[in-house]
Amino acid sequence: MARPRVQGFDCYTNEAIDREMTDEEYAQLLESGWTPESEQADDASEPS
Amino acid sequence: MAIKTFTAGSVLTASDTNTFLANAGLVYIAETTFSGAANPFINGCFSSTYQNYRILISISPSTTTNLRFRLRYGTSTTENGLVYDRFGFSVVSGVLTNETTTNETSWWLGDMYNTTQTPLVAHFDLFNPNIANVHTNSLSMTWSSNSGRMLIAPIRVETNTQYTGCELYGDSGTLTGSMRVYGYRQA
Repeated sequence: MARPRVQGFDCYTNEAIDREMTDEEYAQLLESGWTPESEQADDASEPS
Repeated sequence: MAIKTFTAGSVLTASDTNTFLANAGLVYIAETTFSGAANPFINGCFSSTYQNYRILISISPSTTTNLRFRLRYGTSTTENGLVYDRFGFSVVSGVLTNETTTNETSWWLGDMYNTTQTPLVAHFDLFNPNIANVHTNSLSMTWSSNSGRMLIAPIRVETNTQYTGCELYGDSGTLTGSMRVYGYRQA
């Protein structure tokens, strides 16, 4: 899976943001518990 | 801003027209559309201009996962403390599930499946996000058209922080969709 992009809108500058995620940002994303992909969940309720 | 009353013979200026077009009951503030993003965001959408906001979301994920929402403060700092309390319930095929839980690090908006034709859609009103010393609260409804789950889950954020923005993220994979923010006009 390709690394996620950083996308959003900044009302302070009135500019859309669309750029590659830096290594530091990607490391922080992984540290937060995010995973690139997951298996199909049998239970659609919120996982613990 | 106060409503201006026009009387017979009044001159409708371009300035007045633009002012009132921009100040309907629900005023468009900002949006983000995204594809392949892990946590799409809008910075600076909450301010002292409005007390309350309406947020509309439509999302499809790259993989089956949960969608979560968090507030931001300062320029772009994510509120990821154990401060999100969720109340309410979900319904699937007529079966209710209690979805009340407290002290979470984000606001669960429901489950998503990897199909573009059946996105997760949500709308919620956000109260007082940028008001100092007042908890941010929300009344929300989420519909996951693939799983058939409707989630009605008011949220309370137990801080006195003045929030300025918001973000979405999935537990895994990336997101494709849109998020739009509107302000409820006030005098």
